[in-house]
Amino acid sequence: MQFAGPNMFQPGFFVCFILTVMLGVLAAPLDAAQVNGQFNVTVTLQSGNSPSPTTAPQSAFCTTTPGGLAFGATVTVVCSTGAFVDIAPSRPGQPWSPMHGGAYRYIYQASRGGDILGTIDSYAGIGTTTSWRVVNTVNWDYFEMTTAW
Amino acid sequence: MNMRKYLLSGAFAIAMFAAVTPAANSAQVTGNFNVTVALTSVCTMAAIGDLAFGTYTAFQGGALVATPTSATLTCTRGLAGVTANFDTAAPGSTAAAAAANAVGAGVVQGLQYTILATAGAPVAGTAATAGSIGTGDTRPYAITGNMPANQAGDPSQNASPQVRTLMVNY
Repeated sequence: MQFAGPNMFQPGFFVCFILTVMLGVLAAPLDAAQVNGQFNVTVTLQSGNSPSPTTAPQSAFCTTTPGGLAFGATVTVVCSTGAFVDIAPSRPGQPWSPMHGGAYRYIYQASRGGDILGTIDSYAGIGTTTSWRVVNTVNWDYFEMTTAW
Repeated sequence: MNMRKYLLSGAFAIAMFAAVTPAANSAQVTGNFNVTVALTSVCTMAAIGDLAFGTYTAFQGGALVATPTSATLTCTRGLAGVTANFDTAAPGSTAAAAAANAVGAGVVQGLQYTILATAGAPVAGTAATAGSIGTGDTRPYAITGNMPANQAGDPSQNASPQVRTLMVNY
């Protein structure tokens, strides 16, 4: 039995097949086109190094790792300036020793019109945070604490 | 032959000459020809404004949304299968594969951000006529950006402004 059509096992068939595939591959990019447009992504980073004291205080912006409430815990403070401070207990079972501004004791005086209300402990030892405030500005808020040193 | 018959015969001869002779001499031959052209579809893009995030305060509690910008393309009428994607040439930038909307991300001033170019509905142009060249389709893209909260930032990493590219494929 003989086939009337071209024999696919002949070398000429494969040459034609490869040429057809190559033409198809070359033809595809000719139909595709592209147009590009560039644009700028802009941002102004406000950090502790910012030279704009009228809009932001010259203090570092720092965060602390969570979960440092137990005795023996180590708290890492990371600041946008790149500086960081470790607050670790000086002895097992003792509260944190204040280093580089670390604080472990907080005393807030309740007052009204300059008069202290109540008879709470007013002792403010080293590392005691004695006051705080939240400052609200046009574009951002910040939390400020005063620590006895 | 009297004068009257002579005049009538002359008038008849003139009338027949005028009525028959011209028709026999005018003729028309026509030839058809093809008007051919190969149209290469093209899109042009107008300049794109800045994608401005404004001021980011390190470790700020909320995400920062950029003021959106837009890209406007004018294309050959009736284009289909138009896709878009962002570049990856900017340091630290990434981009999703080309699709109807372009999705990407990047880092500027040490701050991570995401960008999205959303294709708007094309506005059909007007067809050309014998008296008018017509107009192309308009294809708008809205480009938005978002910068997540609680980032430290780094003024030394990828200065602002950072150039990004929107690529539209057709």
